[in-house]
Amino acid sequence: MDNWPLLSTIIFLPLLGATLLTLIRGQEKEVSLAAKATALWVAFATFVLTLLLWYSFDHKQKGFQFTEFAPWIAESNIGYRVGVDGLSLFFVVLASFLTVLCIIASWYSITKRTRDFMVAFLVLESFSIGAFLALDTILFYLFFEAVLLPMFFIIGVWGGERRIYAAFKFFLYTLLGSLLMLLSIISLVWVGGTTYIPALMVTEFSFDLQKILWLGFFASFAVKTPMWPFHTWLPDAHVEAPTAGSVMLAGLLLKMGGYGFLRFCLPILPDASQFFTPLVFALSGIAVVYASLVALVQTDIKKLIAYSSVAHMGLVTAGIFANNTTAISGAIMQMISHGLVSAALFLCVGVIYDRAKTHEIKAFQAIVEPMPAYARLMLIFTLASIGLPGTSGFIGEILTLLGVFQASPTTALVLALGMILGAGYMLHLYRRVFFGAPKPVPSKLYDLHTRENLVLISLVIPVLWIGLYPVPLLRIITPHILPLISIAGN
Amino acid sequence: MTLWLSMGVEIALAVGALSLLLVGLFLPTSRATRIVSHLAVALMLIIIAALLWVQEQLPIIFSSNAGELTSLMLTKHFRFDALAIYIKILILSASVCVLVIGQGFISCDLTQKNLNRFEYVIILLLAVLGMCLMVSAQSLLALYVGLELQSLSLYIVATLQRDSPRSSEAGLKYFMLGALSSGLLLFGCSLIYGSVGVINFESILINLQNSNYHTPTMLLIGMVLTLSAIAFKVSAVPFHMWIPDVYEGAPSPIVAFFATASKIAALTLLMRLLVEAFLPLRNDWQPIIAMLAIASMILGALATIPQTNMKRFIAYSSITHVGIILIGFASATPDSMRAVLFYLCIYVVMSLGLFAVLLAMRTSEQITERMQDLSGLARSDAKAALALSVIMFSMAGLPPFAGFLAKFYIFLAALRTNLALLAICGALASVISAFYYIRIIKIMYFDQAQENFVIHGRSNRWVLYVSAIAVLSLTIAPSLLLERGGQAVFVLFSY
Repeated sequence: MDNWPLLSTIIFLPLLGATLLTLIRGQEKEVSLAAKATALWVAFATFVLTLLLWYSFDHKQKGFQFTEFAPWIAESNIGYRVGVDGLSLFFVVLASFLTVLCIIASWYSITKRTRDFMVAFLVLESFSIGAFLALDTILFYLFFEAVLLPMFFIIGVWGGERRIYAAFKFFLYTLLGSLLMLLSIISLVWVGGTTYIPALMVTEFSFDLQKILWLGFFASFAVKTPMWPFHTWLPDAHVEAPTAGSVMLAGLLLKMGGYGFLRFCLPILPDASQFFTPLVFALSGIAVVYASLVALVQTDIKKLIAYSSVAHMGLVTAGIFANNTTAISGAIMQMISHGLVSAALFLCVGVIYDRAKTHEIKAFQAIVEPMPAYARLMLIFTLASIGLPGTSGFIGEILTLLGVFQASPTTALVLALGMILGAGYMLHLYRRVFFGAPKPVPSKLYDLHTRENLVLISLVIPVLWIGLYPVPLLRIITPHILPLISIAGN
Repeated sequence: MTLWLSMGVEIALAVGALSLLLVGLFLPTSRATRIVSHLAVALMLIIIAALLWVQEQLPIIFSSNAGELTSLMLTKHFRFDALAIYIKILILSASVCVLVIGQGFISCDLTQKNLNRFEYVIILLLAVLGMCLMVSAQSLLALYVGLELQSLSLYIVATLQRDSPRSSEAGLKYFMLGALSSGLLLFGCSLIYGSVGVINFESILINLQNSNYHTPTMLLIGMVLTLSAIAFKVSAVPFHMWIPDVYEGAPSPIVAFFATASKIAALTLLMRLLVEAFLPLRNDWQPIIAMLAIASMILGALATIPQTNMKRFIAYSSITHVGIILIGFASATPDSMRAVLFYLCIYVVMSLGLFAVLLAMRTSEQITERMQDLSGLARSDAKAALALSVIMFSMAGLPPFAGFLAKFYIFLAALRTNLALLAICGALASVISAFYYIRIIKIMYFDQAQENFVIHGRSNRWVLYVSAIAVLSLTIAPSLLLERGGQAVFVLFSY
C-alpha cells in the first residue's frame, strides 16, 4: 500500500468518474438519476481518499510528501510531478468536500442536462485538485488554466439570465492574466533550467528579472484572487452562476490565486515579493474598504456576498505578503474559512433561490417566520463571515491582523476598519432579509428539508470546529510556512 | 538506387496521377470520382507508410553513408532529408483526410449541378506533387518549379463550381494575386542570382558566409521580394487580402486543402529559404518576419471577431495561426524551428477536424456555412459538439489540449531569443482569438437548438473524433512528435 499513488488517484478518480458518466445510456430520467448517484459516489470516494491523505500526512516531516514522478515531455525536462505539503493539503480536502456538498445541493435544483452538469463538476474537481498538487510549473499551469473550461460551461449553460456575458467575462479576464503568467513561467523555466518547483525555490534570479516575472504571476493571481481593481468579473460570475457554481467559484477557484502567491511568488521570487509588498498592501487595503462599502449598497444577495469575498480575499493577500509566520498561517486559515463560509452562504442563497427564483434582497422579508431552522443556520454563517470569536473566520482574521500589524500597522488598521464594515453589511443583510414586518403570505417559503439541512449542518461543523480548536490545522500548516519566510528574509 | 529512393515519393505521385487519369476514362461517369479518389487515397496511404518506414530507418540509412552525408542529394536542386520526410508525411496525410472528408460535399453539391468530374482528384494529386517538390527544393529554380506546379493546380480546382460566380471569382482572384506573387518571386530570384551568381541554397549560404564585405543592396531587395512572394502564399498580413474571398468562394474541400497542405508546404519552403540560404543575413530578415508576425496575429485576431460565415472565420483565424508560427521563424533557432514543426502538425490536426465539420454541415439536406446553424448542437449531437469544442479549445491554445503545448514551445523559443515583444503580442492575440473560438462553443452549448441541422456523413464524423482524440493525446505524449521534429531541424542547421 505504501507505493500506491494516492495523489494521482485523488486527481484522476473524478475524471474517471466523469468518463463513466458519459457512458450511461437510457431514458433521460434514468440517465439523470444514475448520473447524480454515480457522481455523488465518485465525489464521496474522492473525499474519503483526501481524508485518508490528511490522516496519513506526517506533520513532522518537512518538504513534500507522497511525491510521484512520471516522465512526460522528456525533451524539455517537463515531468508529471505531484506532491503535497502543508500549504496544499487543506485545499485538496476542501475541494473534495465542497464537490460532495455541491452535488447534493444540486440534486433537485439542476433540472436540465443533469448528466452534463455532473460531468462538468467532476472535471472541475479533478483539475482544481491537480492544480493544488502539481509540483511542476507546466503541470500546474495546465491544471490551473484547464479549470476555466468546466467553469465556463457551468456558468454558461446552467446560469441565470446574463449568463453568456458573465461566462465570457470570466473566461477572457482570467485567460488574459493566465497568459501573462505563462510568459513568466516560460522565462522562469528557461532561466532556472528546470520546471520542478522545489528546484526553482532554491534557484537565484536576478532582481530585475524577478520584478518582471513577479508582475506576470501577479497578473494571473490578482485576477483569480481577485484583488481590487481586477475583481470586476467576480460579481457578474457569481450572480449568474448556478448555486453550486458559485460555491465552487468562491470556495475553491479564488483560493487558487492565494495559493499561487504562496507557491510561486513568495518562495521563487522573494526579493520581488518584498519589493512589491507595499503595492499589495495598498491594493489589499483598498479592496477591503472599497468592497465592503460597495457591499453595503447591494440589492442582490449574491452580489453582496461576492463583494464580501473580494473584501475577505483582500485580507488574505495582505496576510500572504506580510512576511511572517503568523500572518501567512492566518491567511491560509482565512482562505480555508472563507472557502467554507462563503460556500455555505451561497448555498443558503441557493436555498431561497430554489423557492422564490430570485436573489433580490427586496423580495424577502421576515423569512425567519416560515423558515426558523434556516434562519438559525444562516445566522451562524453570517457571524462566521463577520469573524465572531468561536467561528473559523475569527481565527483567520485575528492571525492575519496580528501578523500584518507587525509588518505594517497602518495596513492592519485599514484592514480592521474593513472588518467593522464587514459586520455592518452582513448584519444589515441579515436584518433586511430575516426580520422586519412579515410580508403577506410568502407561501412558497417552506423550511429546510433533510437534504438541505444535511448540507448546511455539515458545513457548520468544520466552521465551529476550526473556530474552537484550530490546532490540528495549524500544526500542519505552520511548519511549511517557515521555508517561505526564511528564504524571503535573505 | 539513390535516385529512386530520394525521389520515390514524387515519382510515385506523378505516375499515379497520370495512370489514374487513364483509369478514370474507362469508368462510368457516375462512379468515377468515387473510385478514383479511393485509389488516390490508397496510393497516398502507401506512400505515407513507406515514408514512416524510412523515417524509422533514418538513423541507419544515414549513418551507413559517409559521416557528413546527412541527407540524400540529387543534383543540388533536390534534397530528401528528415525535414522533407516529416513534412511530406504531414502533407500527404492532410491530403488523404481532405479527399475523405470532401467526398460527401462533392457528391452532394457537384453531382446536383452535373459538375462532378473525377479530374479534380488528379489535379489535387498534381498539387501534392508540387508541394512535395517544394519542400525538398534546394535551389531557387526547384523552388519556383514546385511552387508553380502546386499553384497552377490550385487555380484550377478553386473554380471547380464552374456555375457559381463566387467560385469563379475566387479562382480568378487567386490566380491574379498568385501570378503577381510569382512575378515578385521570379524577380527576387533573379536579383539574388545576379548578386551572388548561384541559385543553389547551399552555395548562397557559403557565399554569404565567406563575404566579409557589406551585403549588396540588390541581394537584400531580392530577398525581400522573395519573402513577400512567399508571404502571399502563407497569407501573412499585409499579403492576406486574397484569403477571405478565396476561402469563401472556393469549394469547401479545396479550401480545406488550401488551409492545410498548401500552407504547410509554403511554410516549409520559407523555413528552407531562411535557414538554408539566408541564415547569415538573419539580422536583415528577422525584423521583416517579426513585423509580419505581429501584423498577422493582431489583424487576424481582430478581423475574425465579426465573421459569421464559417469559411471566412477559418480564413481569418488561420492568419492568426500563421502569425504565431512566424514568431518561431523570427526566433530562427533549432528549437524554434522544432516548435514550428510541432505547431504545424497540431494545426493541421485541428484544422482537419474543423473542416470535417464544415464540410458536413447540412440544414434540410442543403449545404450550409453559417456559423449560427451550429446552434444547440450539444443537444442534438452531443458527441460531435464535444469533439468540436475540444478542437476549438485547442485552437485557442488552452490546456490540457495540444494547441497549448504548440503555443508554449513557440513562446519558449521566442523568449529564449529575447523576442519578448513577439511573445506578448502572441499572448494578447491568443486572448482575442479565445473569444471567437469559445463563441462557437457558446453557439453549440448555450444557444437554442436549430431545427433540421445535421452533421452529415460517417467518415467526416470519424475524422472529427480522431482529430479531437489526437489533440488530447498529443498533450499527454508529445515526445514522439517532438523527437521527429528535432531530427528534422537537425539537418536544417547542419551547416
